[in-house]
Formats: sequence, C-alpha cells, structure tokens
Amino acid sequence: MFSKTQIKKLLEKPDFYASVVLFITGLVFFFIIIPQQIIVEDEAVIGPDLLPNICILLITSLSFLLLIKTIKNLDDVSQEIKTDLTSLEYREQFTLLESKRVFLLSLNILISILIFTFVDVLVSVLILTIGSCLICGIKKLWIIIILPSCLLSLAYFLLYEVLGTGVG
Amino acid sequence: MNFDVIYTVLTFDNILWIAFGVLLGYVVGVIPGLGKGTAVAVSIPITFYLSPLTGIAYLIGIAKGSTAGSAVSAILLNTPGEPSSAPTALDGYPMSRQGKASKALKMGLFASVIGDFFSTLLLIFLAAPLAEYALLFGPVEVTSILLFSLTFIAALSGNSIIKGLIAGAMGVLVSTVGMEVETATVRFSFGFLELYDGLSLIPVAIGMLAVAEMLVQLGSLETIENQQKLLKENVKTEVQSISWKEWKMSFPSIMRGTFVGSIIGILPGLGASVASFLSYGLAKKAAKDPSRFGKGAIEGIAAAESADNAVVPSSLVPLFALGIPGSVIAAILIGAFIIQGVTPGPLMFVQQPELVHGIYISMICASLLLLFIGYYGQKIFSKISLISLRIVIPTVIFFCCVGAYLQGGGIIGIWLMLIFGVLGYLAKKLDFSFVTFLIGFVVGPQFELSMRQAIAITTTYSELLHHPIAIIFVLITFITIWRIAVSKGKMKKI
Repeated sequence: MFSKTQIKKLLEKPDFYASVVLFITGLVFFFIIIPQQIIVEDEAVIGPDLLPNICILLITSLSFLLLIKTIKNLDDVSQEIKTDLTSLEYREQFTLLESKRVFLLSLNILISILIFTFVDVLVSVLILTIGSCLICGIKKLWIIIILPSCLLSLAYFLLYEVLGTGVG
Repeated sequence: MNFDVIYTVLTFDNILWIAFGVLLGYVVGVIPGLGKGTAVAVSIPITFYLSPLTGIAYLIGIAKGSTAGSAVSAILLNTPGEPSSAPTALDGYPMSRQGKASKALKMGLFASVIGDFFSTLLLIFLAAPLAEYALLFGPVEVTSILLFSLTFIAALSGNSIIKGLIAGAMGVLVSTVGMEVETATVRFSFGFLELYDGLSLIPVAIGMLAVAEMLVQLGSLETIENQQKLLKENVKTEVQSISWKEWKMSFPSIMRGTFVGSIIGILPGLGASVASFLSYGLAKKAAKDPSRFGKGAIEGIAAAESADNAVVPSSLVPLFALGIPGSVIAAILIGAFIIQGVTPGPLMFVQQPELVHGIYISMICASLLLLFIGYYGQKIFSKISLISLRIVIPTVIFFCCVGAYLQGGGIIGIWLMLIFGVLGYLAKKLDFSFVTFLIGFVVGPQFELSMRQAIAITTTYSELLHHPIAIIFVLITFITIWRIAVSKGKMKKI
C-alpha cells in the first residue's frame, strides 16, 4: 500500500502524529471517559453529555479527516513551502535545542509546583526563577542573583503591600 | 450620553492607570516575542483590585500600547513584536539601515495613533445601535450566531480549516469541565473538588498565550540576539522629522489602513495580521512606484501600522454589541469583565451605560496617551528593544505563575497554566489555532446554555422557520466554510 519512502515521509510529518493522537484521544473520551465522568440522570430532558459528545465526535471525525489529508498530501511539494500571508504565524519546526529547553523549563515549573505544595514557597520561587535563568542560558552570576531577588521583591511588594494577599 | 461620566474618567487615578497600561503595553510590545495577549492575560489579576472602569481601561491601554510598540522591534530589529507588525518590518528595517530609524518610528507611531483613534470612534458609533438590535435575539438566534462566529474564526485563523475546527471544538469541550448549570451534573472533575466550578479563564489564557509564547521563544533566542547585536553596531537613532512631502505621501495609506483595519477588526477571527498585510498590499498597489516598497518606503509603514492598530478597538464591536469575542484580546477581556461583575453584551448598554461611556472616553484618552508616551519615549523604547530574551523569559514565567496563582484559585491555577502552556506550545508549533481554542473556551458555556434553551423551545423542525435570522446565520456558516474551503489558497493548506 505504501512504499518505504512514503512511510518514512509520513513519519516525518508532525500532522500525522497530531491526527493519530487526537483520533485515539477522541475514541477514548467517547467510549470510556465521557460515560464514566458524566452521569446522565433519566429525568434530564437534554443530557449534560450532549455538548461534550458533539465536541468529541467532531474532534474525532476531523482528526480522521486530517490523517487522510496528510496521507494524501504526502507527495505534494507545495505543502512543504508555505509562502502565504499567514505563514509568519506558522512555526512547525521542532529543533532539538528548542525541545530540550522547552522540556527543561516545563520540568522546572513542575518541580516548583511540587516544592510549593510540599516544602516551602520561598524555595519554590527560588527554584523557579534561578532554574529559568539557567535554562535560558544566563551565565553571569550577578544576573542569576539579582534577577530572582528583584522578582521576589516585586512579588512581595505586589502581593503584600499593593494587593494585600499573602501566599503560602 | 451622561456627561458626568467624563468627570469619573478624568480622575488622576484613572488617567494614571491608563497611562501605566499604555506604557506597560508599549514596553511589552517593544520586546520581541511578547505580544498584547501575553501582557493583557498576565495583567488581569491586578484589575481585581481596581474599579471596573479603571481595570478595563487599564487593560485596553495595554492592548493599544503593545500593538503600537511592536512596530519598534520590527523597525529596529527586523523582528516584529507580533506577527501583525511583520509588514512594518518590510520597509521599516531598510529605513533604519539607511539611518532613518527615527523617521520610521515616528511614522509608525503617528499611523498607529490615527488608526487607533478613528477605529475607537467607529466602535463608539456602531456598538450601541448593534446592541439595540441584538437585544431582540432569542436563544435560537444566539446559538446560530455563536456557531457562525466559532466556525468563521476556526476557518480563518491559521492555515488549515480542519485544524481550526478541531481547536474550536477542543475549546468548547474544555469549557464543559465542571458543574453543568441546568442539571447540576459534575463533568470531567476526575475526583478533584477544585474542578467542580470549572476551569478559570485566567490560568488557561495565561498558559495558552504567555507561557506557550515563552516556550516558543526559547527556540529563537540566538536569532533575536544576533539582530540585537546588529542594531547595537549599525543603526543610528538620531532625531529626524517627517517632511510635509512624506506626510502627503503617507496620508492616503493611513486612511486606507484605518478603514481596512476597522472593517477586519469587526469581523471575528481575521485578526490584525490579515489587516496589516492587506493594507500594505493595497498601499503598494496604489503607489506610483511600487518598486520602492520593501526598500524603505515610508508609506508602507504607515499602511501596515494604521491597519494593525485599527483592529484593536473595532474588534471590541462584536464583544460590546453581541457579547461575542472576535479576537484574543476580546476573549481575555471577557475574563476581566466577569471579574468585575459585568457581563459584556447588549445588556451592558441598558444596565451599565455609564460604564460603557466611561470605557469609550478612557479609550480616547488611551489613544492620546499613546501618542504622548510613544513620542517622548522613543529613545528609551529603542533601548528596551535590546533587552535580552534570556532575562525576559524567566521574568514573564515568574509573573505568569503569580497571575495564575492569584486568579486560578491557588496552586491549581499554576497546574492549569502549565498544562495549557504545554498544550498551547504544541498548538502553536503544529498550527492548531490557539485563538479559536480560547474563543471556543470563552463562548462554550453561553453556547451550551443557548443551545439547550433553543432545543427546549423548538420541539419540531418547522418551528425553526419562525427564526429567519437563525436560518440565515446557519446558511452563512455553511456557505462561508464552503467558500473558504474551495478557494485556491485554502485548498492547498488543508
């Protein structure tokens, strides 16, 4: 059905993965999550699951359509070069360096949330700010010290002096 | 109009907050990679402690300021603060390379202020009559108008209709989390009590707009730094004035841009990028010597900037008149309105006319302050554009967390911000319109409610014939989708 080159091309398309993930998610939601998470009472004239079901059906069918389009457009070179007006907003390129930084920054926020919840607010904020500086490639020590200090002071001023809402 | 409102608006506090909003917006706009969506979303928690009028005026000031400010980085760095300033860079950057940076910046500012001012007037004259008409709409009409808006936005924002529709449906789906109003059934709570009230707009918006944008910018740190190095080395920023001849050349482009921007702003989903590119294209077409464009034609900057800034006020027309957000800013403003206990829409004109008039006057004040701040702060803003993204990103992430915490109900807000930040990043990279998602999320509850009411009152299909406006909107929805889908450009993109 598909040649090796075509399969290779297909596996390089982010749209392929996006449509497959969305399609599977749609099915999981429709058959498992919605019936479990929305309990429909008999007396309800219009069930509370009506809109979620409509949305999921739409997402599943559209992602299937996207998959078909991606497969159909495999050999279409014009799909690879986008020169229209809106192409400036089109940023479909995952570089290794960017992916690494995105992963690390997200992980840093996640760790900060966990520390906020289980350890201490101040430690969490310090990890968030210093970690973000390091991930962004700041090497100068004085910036790594001054930036978090300034942000903390600003947050203190905003939360305790201006807004009057403490955190922690 | 009640003229006492003028005294309410022209208080020291109010003007100060509007000026602060414009200034903050300008600074954010100048920094490459930070957009008005980010600035407004992160600033919403502050408005909780302001009066409704001051809070909303402050946010609109930010939106206006950042739209104008994004021209600075486009002209000086060839890196537009927002995609809608990209056509500004086409002529602005060559001008700054020719040593005319100051002239280009001034024209960008003047065109921005003129576009913004006239578009504000259009909002003032158009929203009230439209709202009066909208009050006659029942649930069937509201459902059809919301359906039309969502599909129209989905079809136009982004490169693919399919992806746009998926994003819109996702937004509506996410809005169904929490307790359903009519049957009191809890949906998608997964056992978390915090989700019983549904997802708060602010952490979702902060995640989708600000955090996602910062994650995207992590990939372009080096590119922007190279441009900033070039600016430090080459571009002269001495003060220059715009000559009478240049004004004469640019004025038609400004008026055309204002018209294009105002009209496109009213239509939901098209956005500022389409307006500025279209206006730039029209200016080029109308020019005696189109070959000058792209090499430093001052009317190119005038055309792009006037259209870009005209979009912001006119995009509030559907929000004020119908309660439907047509842009990201309008969607986020709904959050701010709700925080203040105000429901945007036609009833606002009946129940709180003073507030509406106050917002109008504040918007005009913001336009004037924009001119003042932009003109006298030109040199400082040129320096701000050199701030490294390596410092901007940790700062923005920090304030995102503070904002999400304050307005998202505690730590759950930061969790939501992180989840939607990653989702927003993926959406941006894969070209799933986050604008459509956010608008779907915002209008979702209203859409569900009106749909339920519509189903309840129309027991047979023949009853639908009593709602001609609804039929027209449903037909327009299908025709629009079909027309866009078959158009040559879109067929390639799907």
